[in-house]
Amino acid sequence: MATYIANRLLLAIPLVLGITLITFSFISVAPGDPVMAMINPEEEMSAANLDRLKEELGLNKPIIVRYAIWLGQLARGNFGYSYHTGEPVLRRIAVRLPATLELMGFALVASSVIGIGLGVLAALKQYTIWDYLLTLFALFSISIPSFFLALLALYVFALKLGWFPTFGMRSVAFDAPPALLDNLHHLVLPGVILSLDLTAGLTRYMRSGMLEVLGQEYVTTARAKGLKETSVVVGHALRNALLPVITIVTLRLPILFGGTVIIETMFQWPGMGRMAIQAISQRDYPVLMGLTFIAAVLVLFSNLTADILYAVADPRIRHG
Amino acid sequence: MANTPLQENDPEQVDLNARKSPNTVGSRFRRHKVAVGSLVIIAFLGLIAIFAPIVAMQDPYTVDLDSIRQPPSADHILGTDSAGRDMWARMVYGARISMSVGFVANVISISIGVLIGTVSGYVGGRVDNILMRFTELVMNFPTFFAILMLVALLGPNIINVMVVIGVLGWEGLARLLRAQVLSLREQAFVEAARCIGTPHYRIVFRHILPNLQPYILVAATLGVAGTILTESALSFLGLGVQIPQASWGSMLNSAQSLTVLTNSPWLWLPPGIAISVAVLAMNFVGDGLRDAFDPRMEV
Repeated sequence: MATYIANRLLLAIPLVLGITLITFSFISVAPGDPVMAMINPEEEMSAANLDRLKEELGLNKPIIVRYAIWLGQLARGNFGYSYHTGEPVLRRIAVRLPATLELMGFALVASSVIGIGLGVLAALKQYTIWDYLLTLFALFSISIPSFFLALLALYVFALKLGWFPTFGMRSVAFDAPPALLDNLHHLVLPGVILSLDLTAGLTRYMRSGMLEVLGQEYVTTARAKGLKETSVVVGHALRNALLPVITIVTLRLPILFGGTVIIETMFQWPGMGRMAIQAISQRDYPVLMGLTFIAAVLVLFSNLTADILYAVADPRIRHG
Repeated sequence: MANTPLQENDPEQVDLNARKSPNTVGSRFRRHKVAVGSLVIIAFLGLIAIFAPIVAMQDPYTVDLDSIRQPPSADHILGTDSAGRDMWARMVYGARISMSVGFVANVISISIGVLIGTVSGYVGGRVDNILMRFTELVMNFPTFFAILMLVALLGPNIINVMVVIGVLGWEGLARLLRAQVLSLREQAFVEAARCIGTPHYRIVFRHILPNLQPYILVAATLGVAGTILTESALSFLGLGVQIPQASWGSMLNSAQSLTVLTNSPWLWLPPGIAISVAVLAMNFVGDGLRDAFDPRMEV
């Protein structure tokens, strides 16, 4: 098992290098200049001063050299400095990370619990009205854009009914409820909307997984030896049907991360997704590179986790 | 010949064939009522997009600052937007842009996917190895994030949106097709073709590609749904189609302000519903097609 994990980690390194190198090159050759973004357009600036600024930022070296420098700094834990605020990129990301993790964590837990539950329900009640409604729910959740759902939710639950706040992570009012409750209150709308897509996917996978497992001989055996239906479903069927779900959940993590960009922007949630949009509009390349690196590592990490969890959960596929 | 292996003139045999209910892909698809209804909706939206200048009745770009954010009325059946432009006309022209972005981007990714999948599976060896490592690389890109960044860096406009979405969306299909080609390549009819000296390009075009058609068709239908969603999200964030051009997503952009959201629902409800209906219909058709071809197909 240890060798397997080590092998997979080694294979992941060229992928991270490839992704960051490609992103780095694109950022470097793209039109739009961070120097221009920094200076005040009202004031004239001499060409010599412009060149000096470029020199200071290291923008006149060849791409591959700049990439090597960036990589070397990264290895020492230096993600560079924001062009916009001059802050270290790592610190900016570290400040925003908890908010994104909270949002993603909520969505992940909510969709796993609800998605698996609904999928099992749909499978046990196959071809009934429940099954039909759940399939429809899944298709609607996949098809309606999350930002439109967010607009609808904001309109109905926040503006018309006033049940939930419209933006932010916590209230600034003096009479605000205790911090944790207040935070959860803010989390409900963005969290639920972010989770819908994954919930729908899991419902569909869980339904077909359960149906397949319920048709297996060992389930018939379990029933034949007189086990209670609940222990057949939970102990025999569910455990085996959960296996592929592990892969789905972990492989969907990057999509969830992409979803935070939209949700965080709409609910003004102070996380990395919203920072990405700001960094893009400000052409803050070091921040963008830092975020790409984090995102790439997240993708590879989730792939690796999927494989390892699968190997742990299913003794039939123990890797050497 | 004493024995007759082929009893073509046996009356009973003919009779049996005649009574057999049709079980073609087309008939199985037609039995899927929701999918057929969805296909009609898509055709309808397509017609609106094609005949936009006639259906729109008004110009979608005419700014009229005397009548901004007017609720629906006889003059403007869906009201006017923040610059006094007619919402119905913008919806109709938006259909044109949203659907053509979805279509073109998808043609790009399907082409790349088919090319890489087929070459990789058919040629095999080192070529396969290199192409698959490359596919893995693209697959491991955090897609939406990468699309967002590329579009922003290249400059947000309709062409760049199409190209970027297309170029980053082919990995799944390529891998799926490669696996199919790998198994097709070993089948007897391909081996027979090779034995009689059929050139490779002919084997690929006559024997391999036609067998991939179901996968490509289903992937394309579901792909258009995904692409329309991605485009709308980009345009919603202001990184897609730019004003004054209208796509359904960019029309929703103004609803990011709470005033518009609260006071002018006619500005964001219709385009939001349009996107949802179009994507839902595409997904239904894709599902119907998959069930008609082979329910266990993993696209």
